[in-house]
Formats: sequence, structure tokens, C-alpha cells
Amino acid sequence: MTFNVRVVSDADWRRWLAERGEAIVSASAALAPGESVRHGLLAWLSATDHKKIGILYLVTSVGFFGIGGLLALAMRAQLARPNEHLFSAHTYPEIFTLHGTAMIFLFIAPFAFGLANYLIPLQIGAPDMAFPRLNAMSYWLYLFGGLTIFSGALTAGGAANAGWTAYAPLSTTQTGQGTGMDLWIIGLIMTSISGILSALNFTTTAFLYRAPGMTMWRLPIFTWEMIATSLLIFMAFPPFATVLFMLLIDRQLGGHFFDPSSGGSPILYQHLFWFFGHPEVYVMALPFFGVVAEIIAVFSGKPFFGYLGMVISAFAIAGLSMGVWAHHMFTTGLVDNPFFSGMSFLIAVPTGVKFVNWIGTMWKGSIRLTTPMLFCIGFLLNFLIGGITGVMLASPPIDFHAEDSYWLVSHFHYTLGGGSMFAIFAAIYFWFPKVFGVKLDERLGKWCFGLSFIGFNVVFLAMFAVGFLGMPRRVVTYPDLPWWGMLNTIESLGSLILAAGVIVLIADIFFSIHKHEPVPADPWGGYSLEWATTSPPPEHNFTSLPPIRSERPVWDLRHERERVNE
Amino acid sequence: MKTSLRLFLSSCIFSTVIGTVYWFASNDLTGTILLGLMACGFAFLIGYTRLAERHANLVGDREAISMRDTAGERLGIFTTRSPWPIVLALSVCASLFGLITTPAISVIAGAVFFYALWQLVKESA
Repeated sequence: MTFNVRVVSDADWRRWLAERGEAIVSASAALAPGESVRHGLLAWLSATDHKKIGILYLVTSVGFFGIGGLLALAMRAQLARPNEHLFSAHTYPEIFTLHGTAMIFLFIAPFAFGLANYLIPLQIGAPDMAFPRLNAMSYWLYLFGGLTIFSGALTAGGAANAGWTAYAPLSTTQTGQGTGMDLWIIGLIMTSISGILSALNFTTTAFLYRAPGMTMWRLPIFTWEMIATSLLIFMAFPPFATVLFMLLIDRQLGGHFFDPSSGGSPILYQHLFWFFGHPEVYVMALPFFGVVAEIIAVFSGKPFFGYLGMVISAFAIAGLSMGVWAHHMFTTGLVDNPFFSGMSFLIAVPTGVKFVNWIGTMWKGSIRLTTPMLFCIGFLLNFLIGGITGVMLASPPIDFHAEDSYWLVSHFHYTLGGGSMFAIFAAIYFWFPKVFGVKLDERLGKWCFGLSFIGFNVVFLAMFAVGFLGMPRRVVTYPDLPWWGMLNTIESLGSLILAAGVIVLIADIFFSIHKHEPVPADPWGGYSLEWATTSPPPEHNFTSLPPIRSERPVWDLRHERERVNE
Repeated sequence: MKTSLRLFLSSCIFSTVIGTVYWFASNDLTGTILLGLMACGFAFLIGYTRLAERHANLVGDREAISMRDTAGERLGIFTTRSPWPIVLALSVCASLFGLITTPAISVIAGAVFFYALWQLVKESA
């Protein structure tokens, strides 16, 4: 059941090395006597290889994205016109709760975990993750957690309907919150344990399993961003698992943690939840900052501008994000608003540094406007809007007005949808050839980008406007007030355009797999080590590794070869 | 190892400073305890890394090393497949499910969890 991996070199490789100045790592992946390579369902159920686990994460998270997206369309159908009654006042909160839960807990962060699972060992030249079986267990906990959450929809009382934040006492009351709420809680306990175990694997692998010469300051930026993300998870996820257990104790064992009539405090719930909740935003953003950095550098044909600044700013963001949790609680009147406001403003500084890095990399570069690059440019534009409105919300006087309005909903959708989701699409187009050995169609990719970008901005610019006019969020319907109906209709039409973009992506994936035109190891002219191996990589990852003398070993190798050939 | 140590050290100092400032600014016990625990967590990591550093000789930390210099080095044992991770995850799921339905399910799932854990350990031996 196990194989030993050891670095070897033989005479041929030595000769080759002497000629080319390169070095080889060969893995002896010997199966035990009597064992054979398994295929099919059993192979996936018992898989511990990081690439298979990565693919499982990616496919599952995209599945949850599909469900979350359909729920979003259902919400837009309900809100398309004033006084609409497509869904009842009981069902609609279930829809927005499951939509938020799916997108935040089951799609964006797990997609990053999938990418990290697949890419970190490849980018650092390792044969696998440090703890392969723990890695597999993390995935299954995530999958079962997600299914448990959604199984609430099959119970008599329906799914959880207290919103993705599940504020106490709304979530602690038994009336209106039945078994679906309990299933939501235990599902999230599982996904949070899964996240902690994954973070443990990512950091251990990145710290201890680097290939010879791959020093910490030569790590690809995506790997660095995942280290920062993992540290955030270590700090933020345990309080979240704790508050979920406290909620379960209140609901099932007669506890009173959040019951003010018995000395408990609903504010305690908010503190513990947001101590997780705000860093979670960066758990969903930091990995994609790395994705965008990698892609922009490759398609600008330049080394990444300000590598050190990019890495340090990731840790600055991670650190500062741990000190801003109560800016979500300004309106309670029970927190130190100036402290949290100041800390929130400070986060804009390292985020601004990242923008300088991204734009500086493109500056005077030989830019190739491929689909991944277009999505990265879309990310920059959308995330800028999300970031600037975030700075506005860090000011308590503005926050008091915008709290619980659609303006705020639009802000965080610009951050996570326009930001992270666009980076996810970029990542899909960029790494699809590496993972599946076929390239996605560029023409369809550009259609996907165009529809997604237009659709997204139609939805959420109109949402800013209706929020500015005072429309509250989480309402099942609304009266026919001036502009409200028209703006909501525009949003709903925009959501259809956005959905069309996603359908084009799905079609692109199916057509490309069906056509199955194999790609070379490095179809884009990449920089990091994953492009040094075949597409898709062999089970032991590398048959050869180039010498690692900078943060762009594959670029170094390519240019060395060109120089020798000349 | 030096870089990771510096990383943990700076994070620990940052958490301590922010926790102290927060306490004097707000007198809020909940947030101060959370930030304090964060600093303690990093202090633990610093201690562990310092201990691990004594025996560490990571090839990844050596800038000018070539692959040939590390020929024959054992990287470790990597499992190709195992049925126990999915069993462990299922038992965790069932034990939590038992908490909201029938406690007996939790007891049985707990037993399955420890059995699977034992098998996992045996597999590594």
C-alpha cells in the first residue's frame, strides 16, 4: 500500500546532467508484490495521491458552485418584480442561507484547497503532500459536511434558514429552526475540521518537502499565499468550530451560552463568529491573489514585480485581518468602533501594495490577452470596486447607513464574486491543460469572460444603486417604490447573462474533453515547476527536475536551452 | 527553518501587541482572550520549530545544492491508497449525527472511528 520515493541518479542522467547542466530526480514508485494499479470508483474512494484529492476537491467545489448558482437564480426570480410570491416567507430564507453557505463554505475556499492540493507539491518539487491520508480524510470530511448541510432540505422543517451567519438567538430557537439547523451546524463543524487539517498539510509540505534549491524565497507566490492562508485558518477556524459546538449545546443539551435570560450573551456569538468570519474572507481571497500573480506574470512575459512586497503584504493582510472582526458589529454599539475602524483602514495598505505588484508586472510587459489573462484583468477591476467600497464601510458613519442593505451585499459580492470567482475562472483556464492534459477553447473562453464580466457588473452595479436607495437585504419581497422594481429587474436580467457565461464555461469543458487534443508539458510558457512535468503529471510527479536557482526555474531552463541552441 | 521561525516570531509579536492595544482600548475580555490565545498558539509553534530545527537539514534550504548532491536521500514513505480516511470521515459524520438524533449512533460511530484509526496506524507500521 505504500511506495518509497528516493532521489537517485544513474549514469545516463549524470551524462545528461553534465551536458545540460540540469539535474534529475527519479522516483521509484514500486508497488508491493501482488498489488496492481487500481482504476475506477474504488481508486477514487481510496485515493491518497495529492493530484486525485485535488481533482476531487475541485470537482466537488464546482458542483456546490452550481447548486449555489441555481439558488442565486431562484432568488433573482423571486426579486425580479415587486410584490412577487414565487417562494414563501419560510422557503426564501432557506434559499439565501443555502446559497451563502454553498458559496462561502463549500465553493470558494474549498476550490482554493483543491488548487493547493494539486499545485503545492508540484510547485515545490515534492512527490506528494506531507500527510497523504490526512489529506484524503480532509476531503471526505468536506464532502460529507457539505452533503449534511444540504440534507437539511429533506427534513420536515426544511433547511437552515438563519442566514450564513446564523446569528443567535435566531439560530438557537427551536421554532422555525428545526433539524435542518442542526444538520447545518454539524456539517460546518466537519468542514471546519477539514479546513484545519488541510492547512496543517499545506504548511508542513511547503516548509519541509521542498526540492533541493527551492528555498523559501524561491517559492512560487501561490504557495506563499497558501502558507499565509493556512496560518489564517489555524487562527480563525478553531474559534468557529468552538462556536458551532456551543450553538449545538444550546440547541441540543439545554445550554445557555447565547441566552440572555439565563446570563448568556448573543454578542458573544457575534464576537466568536466574526473572529472567524472576517479572516474567512481572506481565506477566500489570499489564494486567488496568488493565482492572479502567477497568471499575470506569465502572460506579461516578465518576472513578477515586487516578489518580496507581494509575500510580505500577504502576511500583513493575514495579520491585520485578525484584528478587524468587530467592524461587522459597529451597529451593536457594544464594540470599540475607533479601534476596529482604524485596523480596517490599515488593511487597505497591503492590499494596495498588491495592486502595485500586479499592475507593475503588466507595465511595459509583452501582454498576451489569453482567456486566463482576461479573467485576471476582470478580477483587478472588480476587486478594486469591492476593495474601495470595503474601505468606505470601514468608516462607522457610512456603515451605520449601509448595514443590512443591498449596498453591503453588492460590496462583498464584488470582493468574492468579482474577485475570487473571476480568479477561479482564470485558474480553471490556466491549469486545466496541466490537470486534464487538454486545453480549453480560447474562443469560447473569451465568450465566457465577456458574458460573465458584463452579467456580473449589470447585477451588482444595479444592486449598489438599489441598496443606496435603502432596500434591505434578506427580504422575501418588497413594495413597488420608485426605481426599486426597475433596478431589481435589471439585476435579474444580469444574473441570466452571468449564468450564460457559466454555461459557456461548462460547454467549453465538455467540448475540449471530447475533442481531446493533447497539450505539451508547458503550453503557456509557464514559470514554476508544475510546468516542468508532463500534462497531466505522472503519479510520482516528476521524472526530471530543472536546477532551481530562482523563483522561475522553468523560465530559467527554457532560456538556457534557447541560449545553448543559439 | 529560519524563515518559518521568523514568520512565527513576527506573528507572535504582532498578536501580543494587538492584543495589548485592544485590551487598553476596549477592556473587552472576549477579544483579548482570543488574541491572547493566538499569541500563545504562535509561541507554541516557535518552541516546536526551535526544537525541530536542531535535527533539521533541509535540502530545500540550501541555495546552491544540485540534485546530484542529494542522490539516494530517502524522502519518506508516501501512501498510494488507503481505505481508512473515508471510514474515519464517515465515522466522524455519523458520531456528530448521533448527537442530534440517537446517542447510540455516536457510540457505535466512535468505536468505528477508533478501529479505523488503529488500522491506519497499523498500515503505517
